[in-house]
Amino acid sequence: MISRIARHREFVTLVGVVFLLIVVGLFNASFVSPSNLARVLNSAVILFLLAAGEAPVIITRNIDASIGAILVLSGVLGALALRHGVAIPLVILIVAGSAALMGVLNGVFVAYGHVPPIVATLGTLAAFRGVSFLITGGFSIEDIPQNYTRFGSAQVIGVPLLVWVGLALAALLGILMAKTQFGRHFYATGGNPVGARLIGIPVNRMVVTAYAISGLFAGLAALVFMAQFGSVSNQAGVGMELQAIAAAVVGGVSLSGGVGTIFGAIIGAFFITSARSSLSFMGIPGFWSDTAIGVILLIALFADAKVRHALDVRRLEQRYASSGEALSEVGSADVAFDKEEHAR
Amino acid sequence: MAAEVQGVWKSYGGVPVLKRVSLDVHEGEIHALVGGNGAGKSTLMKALTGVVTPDEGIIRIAGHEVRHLNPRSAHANRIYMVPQEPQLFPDLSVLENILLCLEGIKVDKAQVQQVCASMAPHIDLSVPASELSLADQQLVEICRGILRNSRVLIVDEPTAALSVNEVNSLFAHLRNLSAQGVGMFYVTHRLNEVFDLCDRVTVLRDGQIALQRRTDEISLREIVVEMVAASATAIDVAHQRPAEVDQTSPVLLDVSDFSGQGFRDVGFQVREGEIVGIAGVVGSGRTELAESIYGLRGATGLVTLIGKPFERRSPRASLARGLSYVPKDRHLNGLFALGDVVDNVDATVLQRMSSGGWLHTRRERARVSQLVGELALQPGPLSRRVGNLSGGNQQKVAVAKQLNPEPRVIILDEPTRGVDVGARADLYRSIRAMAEQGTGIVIISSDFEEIADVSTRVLIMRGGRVTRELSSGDISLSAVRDSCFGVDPDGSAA
Repeated sequence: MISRIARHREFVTLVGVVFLLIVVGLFNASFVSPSNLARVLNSAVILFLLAAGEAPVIITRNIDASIGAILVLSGVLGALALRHGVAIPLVILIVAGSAALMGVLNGVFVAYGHVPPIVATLGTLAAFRGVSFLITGGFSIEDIPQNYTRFGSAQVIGVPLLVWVGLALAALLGILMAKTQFGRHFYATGGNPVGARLIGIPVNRMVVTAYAISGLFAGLAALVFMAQFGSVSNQAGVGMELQAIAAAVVGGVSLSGGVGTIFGAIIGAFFITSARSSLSFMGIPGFWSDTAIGVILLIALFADAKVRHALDVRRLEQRYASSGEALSEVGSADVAFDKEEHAR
Repeated sequence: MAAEVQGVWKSYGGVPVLKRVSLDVHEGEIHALVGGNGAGKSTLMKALTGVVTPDEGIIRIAGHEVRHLNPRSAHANRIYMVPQEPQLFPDLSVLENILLCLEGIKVDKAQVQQVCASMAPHIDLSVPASELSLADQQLVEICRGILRNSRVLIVDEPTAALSVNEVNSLFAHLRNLSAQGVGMFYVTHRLNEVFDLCDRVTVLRDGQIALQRRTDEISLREIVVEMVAASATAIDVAHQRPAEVDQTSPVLLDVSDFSGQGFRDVGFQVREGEIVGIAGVVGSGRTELAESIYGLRGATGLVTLIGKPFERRSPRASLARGLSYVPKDRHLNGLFALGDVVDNVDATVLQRMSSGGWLHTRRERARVSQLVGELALQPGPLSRRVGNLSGGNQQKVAVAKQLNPEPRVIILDEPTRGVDVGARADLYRSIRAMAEQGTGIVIISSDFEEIADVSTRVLIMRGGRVTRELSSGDISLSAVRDSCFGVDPDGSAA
């Protein structure tokens, strides 16, 4: 039972989302009206892009606390380029490229500089925000041209176009992670770095790639942000990194590495967004929703730790049980208890 | 020649572990590599697989010199090692674990299934690796190694966790690979396997080759003698074994019917002034026993410490009641490498040295200074960082730390591993001085010479049980060594 829940955490979260919608819908039917659900989806796009990007980093047993800052800095660059009349395809390239580059920088610090990931990315968080502050002089960049912002209001079959685009990009990443040999390397790197190195997986390069993906998706989130809001302020994306990490963890991406799916991270992001908007729908003030997100995150982390611990205990019991068998069967001196210690 | 290393030298922090070793394996040959702990087997094999970069020496694969070998290029050169500790990916399925390892190699699914079915028929390929027992994980590792289609396959102690049938199946596969021309290094502690499986045997001792011979030209006893030869660097002070302790002197530590993870039904006593050596090969359960007595692990049975039953064991309680333990891996467990000498030595007695939460720096320093003086720590300021000291001096700090609470009983686990000759003599001298002052001492070691030289009584552990006890008159290097390997006096294996 434990292992089944551990293996399909994203479905538990999915059930949570449906349950939440039903409960709030019972209180107020207009919450589950198609137009409101489309609005919730629309406000979830940025978060689920960030969470999808964060997932590969967490899967390789690292963390990226800088994605909010990457969003701002790449967004500022993009907004300036748009205002200077740079063509939209080129702007997309600038934003995505600069964001991915910032991710690579994080990855190099962590993989080759051996800086603990939380320290490295908190450092770049401050640095990227600082640079965007310098560029803008502290003002927000308004008046992003209409020919760009109209993507923000476009709809396809009643759902905002950007939701479709975001889902498509996340699905691509999901396929890469779940269905390709390359994707398996991320899981191997996070699941057992020593073992990954032993079978010839370039562990450091995988870490850098994971951070590059995380940066790239923060850049994509910036493109959505620009289209939705028509401006980029220095306060954009503040606290988003925590929400993205929370979304990934709630969706079953384990902080101990090697476990989780992009699908799970997206469901987690949707859960957090719908929890937020349902609270505001019920007229509960905004600052309460921050507390609620915090509580949800703590519960998810606690459950994650509990499930992991239960699995570990059971695994060890099984191991010792069967080693004991080997002991009596062979009756020999060399049963490998020493190794157990190292393995742990 | 499938692979060859020539003149490989490797040292860690100035301590050489491989001293110009040259070794080769022919195509289709199974070459056994044996030696005690710290002989350099693992390091040598890691050098060949690119995990460790040697300081000097040449590595040739299929006749070509390979420079800058790393695990990835070792793979490309078709060298593969089945590691001693399974290194699977816990959250991936067994099949994924195997396939991940076979990238770039043409292996069809049928072949994978066939090897798995013959090697490990009971394993479901779709379950996550974390749900397998250690033995099954080892089997999966072996399946990977067999399927790798290697030129050179290194198998590091594969049979430790396997049952008899699994060992037979493994040997059949390895012989099959050998017939296909794969050269193999087979690292083992089980010397019988050398004769059952291997063509040639190399004995490593202290980072050098002590013996290399075809297995049909050598006896088990010759191998054992070479593995654990009396060293030429004998230190006189260490070589006068203390007299047997009067069996009426008070018992300090009494352990009976003691069972836990890795050992069963162990019972022994330590009297005042006694030095009890516990000898055994890797995995015989010695460390687990010590950690359980000290309270790091749970166990069942009766422990009496200085006349009182010792229940609810914990490191804190042990220290408070006069039992100290110096763990075997000082880097992992014994020291705070970033702290200075005083921080380290005082870590065990902070409650006593402080009053109201303040540390009494002057008193501390005086006491620490006296302790490290007794252990002949390399002179210098007490504010030196422990991480910068040599292995021997680090060990002295680790011992001083555990002596600081003035224990009545002290357990030392591999006290001289990675310690140079001079520091070794200092440590032996201190151990003897402690015993003369009435401390009860337990020394755990896989260095049989050390056990034979230092102990007043020796317990032999095999497979988690005490299989033999040697009293002072019976202790000799050959007696300890032979009992640990289960060799009868006539030279055959038990």
